[in-house]
Amino acid sequence: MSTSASPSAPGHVEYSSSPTFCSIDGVSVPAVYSSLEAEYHCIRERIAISDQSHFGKFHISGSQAVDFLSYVNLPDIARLAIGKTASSFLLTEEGGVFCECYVIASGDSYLLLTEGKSRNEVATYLEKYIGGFEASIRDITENYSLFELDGPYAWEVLKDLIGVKILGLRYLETLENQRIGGATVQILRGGKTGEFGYCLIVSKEEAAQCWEAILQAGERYQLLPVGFSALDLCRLENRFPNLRLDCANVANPFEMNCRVMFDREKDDHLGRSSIEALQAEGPAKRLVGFVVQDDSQKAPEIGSKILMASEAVGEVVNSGFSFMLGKPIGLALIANELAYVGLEFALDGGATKISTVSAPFIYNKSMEIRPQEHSFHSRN
Amino acid sequence: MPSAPADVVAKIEERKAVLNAIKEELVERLELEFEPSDIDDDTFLFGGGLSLDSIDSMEIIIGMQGRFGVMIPEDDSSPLRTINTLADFVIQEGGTV
Repeated sequence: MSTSASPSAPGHVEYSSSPTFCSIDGVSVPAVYSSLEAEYHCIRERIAISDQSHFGKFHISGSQAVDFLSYVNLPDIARLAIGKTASSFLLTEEGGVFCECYVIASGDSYLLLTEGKSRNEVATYLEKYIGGFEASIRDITENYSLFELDGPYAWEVLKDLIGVKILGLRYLETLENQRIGGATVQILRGGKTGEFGYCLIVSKEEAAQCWEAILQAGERYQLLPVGFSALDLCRLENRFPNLRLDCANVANPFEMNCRVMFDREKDDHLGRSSIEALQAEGPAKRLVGFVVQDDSQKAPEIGSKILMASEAVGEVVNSGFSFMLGKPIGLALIANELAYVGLEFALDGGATKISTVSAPFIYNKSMEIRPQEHSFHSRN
Repeated sequence: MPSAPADVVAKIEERKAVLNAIKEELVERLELEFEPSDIDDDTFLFGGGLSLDSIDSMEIIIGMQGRFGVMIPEDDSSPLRTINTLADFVIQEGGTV
């Protein structure tokens, strides 16, 4: 993630402060507004809003839209009920991961939200494989903005804005045609922070008024806009795959611990023979989480070699300082036979000790929140 | 396989036995459409991953007690996150495979 100052506001919203920007999937989005730590605590303890304009957005329709999507996705999209969403990966011909996506089934068509590749790369990919299917692709990326609300009380600000129906929305379900600040919004319960998360899809013309309405309604919850530095850290703490970081160099979904996404019974799909071979043989390496044992506050460098008995057995692929744990954490891609929790390894030629730990790294406050009973204003 | 000290190999084998037993228990008890070997160690139980629900959590608690002789307190959901957090709890509580 490269950072730079930029005046652009890709979500077509006005930022009240001047964030540092970074480029994600070829789109300039806020990295940090004011402070990584303040934004982190906002996500973990209150409500945060973020501009997720890097998502590609594609409308897939036609009598064989479902067959096409099942062909290119890891899970079987044919099993996806209307109103439900699959959190998925688009596959390569080698059985690897092309990019990450949400597939939203909305009746006779599908909305595909993609991240991990630029919108143009995804468009080229989809065009390459749609031949032979009676289906069509409409790139609607430029027509819509995508915001995300994350935090243990994210549901509460939405309850103020659209009513109690938000409380009945389950993970990976959607609500269509909701009104926020006069804007028409589609809401997907999702998110990648481990807290309550909601993706809001709104037309570019109405994005600013929606953003402003949420900021106003969020004042009483100390809601803040947050950037990708804090979001990526939360994503790491909860072990959601991150194709820009920890999964940038994995060869297949099995190395990412995403084996349950694959459906043995589904029809032919991209990379099938490679994936079936992997199922039989197992992956060569796997991701496993670790914490640094000593008192260092510095996150290990990405690319650092992981050692066991002086032998290199893997490398660090993502790292950060967990404010909740008060210590550096990371993910390592380690030889399959050694990728287990409860082991000690060395870094930096032996100078730093790490211990492998279970996912997720932390216990989320959202696990304790019951929207029917709790409120931000009566929290401890 | 990279060469690992004998104590490390023993630790891995102990954890693998617990992980495999947990996966078998969940697949059988909850009638999941997975093979135990298709479930990764860091697979989440709820939300994504196995996509279980709150009724399943009681079944898991009963299953862990029956299979390993360990009791997950009803007010502690921290072991009920992933296969690995269940394994941590079983090993910490001295559960037997």
